[in-house]
Amino acid sequence: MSKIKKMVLGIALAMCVFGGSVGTCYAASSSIEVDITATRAYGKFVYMEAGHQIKVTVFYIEKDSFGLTRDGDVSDTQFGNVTTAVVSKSNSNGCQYVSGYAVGYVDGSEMAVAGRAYA
Amino acid sequence: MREKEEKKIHFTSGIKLLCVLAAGAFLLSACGKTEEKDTAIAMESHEIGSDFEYQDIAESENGYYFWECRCDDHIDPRLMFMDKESGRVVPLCNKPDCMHDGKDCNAYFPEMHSGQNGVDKHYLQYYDGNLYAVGLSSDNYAALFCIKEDGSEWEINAKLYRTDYMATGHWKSPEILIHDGYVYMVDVKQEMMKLERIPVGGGTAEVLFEGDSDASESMVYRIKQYEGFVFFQAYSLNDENFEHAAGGLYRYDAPGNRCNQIKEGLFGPYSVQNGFVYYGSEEGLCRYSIQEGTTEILADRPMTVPNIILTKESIILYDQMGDGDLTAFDYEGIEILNVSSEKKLLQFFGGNADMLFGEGMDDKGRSLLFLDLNRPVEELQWEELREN
Repeated sequence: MSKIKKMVLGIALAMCVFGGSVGTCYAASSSIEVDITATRAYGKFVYMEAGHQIKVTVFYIEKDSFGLTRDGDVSDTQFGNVTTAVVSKSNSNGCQYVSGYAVGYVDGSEMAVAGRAYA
Repeated sequence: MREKEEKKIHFTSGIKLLCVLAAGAFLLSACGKTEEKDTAIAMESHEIGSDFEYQDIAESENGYYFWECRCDDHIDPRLMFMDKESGRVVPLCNKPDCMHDGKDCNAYFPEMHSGQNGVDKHYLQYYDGNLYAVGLSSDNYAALFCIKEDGSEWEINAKLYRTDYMATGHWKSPEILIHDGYVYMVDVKQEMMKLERIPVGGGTAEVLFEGDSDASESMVYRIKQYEGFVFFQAYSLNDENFEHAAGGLYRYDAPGNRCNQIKEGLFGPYSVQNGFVYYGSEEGLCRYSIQEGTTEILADRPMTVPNIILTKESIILYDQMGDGDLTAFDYEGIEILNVSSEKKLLQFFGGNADMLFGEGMDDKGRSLLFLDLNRPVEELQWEELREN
């Protein structure tokens, strides 16, 4: 599934979550944020129910020191009583982050997406 | 596939012989015509004179082809065509009365999903009268898709290499260049990348270049063709420090079947014309003679890996790591144009003396942009490339 498709699915899921819909769409409340600067990619996903595997992935695009544009991703996964997953990656070697977005997962399913952010 | 209809026709042996001779004569004549046509197309391509660092725009004699930018308005990007003469941008569909807004439109192509043939909507190259894209085959191979020039038909032309998309869901578009009957390619998901080629239409992959086997990471990138040769860049790393990278610019010599290093340590964008390699560096705008092995500084102005393209009369540089200024020099190193823009590109693709292309972003998200170099200097600005 393409990243954008994942994002759309995530947005749909997030709408269900944030909209507080009842029925099969119900889930504990969650929040996700992303911040991309030239030197740092940061993502934070909070899922307010313990006992799950929670994961945040930041998908980013960077330019390396040879002027080449390429994409990548960085993740953090937490288990047990922890309700927050945070990832932060600094860029070095002359690389610059150009853009990125974050996706939050609960037990392997996409649950929320933070919109694209630009350095 | 249409099934062949079997017909029982009885000939006398004399008529059979006549038919065989006639068919032979016809085939000989047809082969001759095909060769003539191929040569004509190759010459047209050579004469177009476009220079792209990122092959996201395909140029034919009549216009430019590209995939729409994937955004909230277009979750499934369409294949578009910009007419050179009129500047009109339309979906590539010739179906009468088509509204171009549904999957039945010829401009729509399948997305990539496990178990289906699907197209990655970035790379696009015009070659030998057809368009070529890459994507995923239903059996999980990175594949080359051949699309008819009018968008009406497509098929998988060649399977390139097996992917792990089914297991991981991760896809990285391969680095591709079609040149002189071959697909030159790099599987960019590999830690130790290598340059390979297979014949257009499919066949066995042949490894042309591999990095240092002792390195922890090898990368092959920016495959481009100039003056009948395939150029590419490669580096090997033994640690994560780019300053320790070994490699540079290489050229594949097809008759000798070997890759020669052209310029050691050249890792940034480059372009080639008349036996010279042009690039920007901390020293300035440089011209390197492949024959002599000497470097001349055309403009003494430090630059950090600018995108660079060459046209017949100018050297165009895009300041991708800085403010996004576009500067053109003549071949004496005199600045002849400078365009500052509020819009900084995410990626500068390249172009030609008439038109430049790139990808930008604003509050609405990403969009494809073009710069019409035929406008008066004071009116030069990046404009959105969209249906009009």
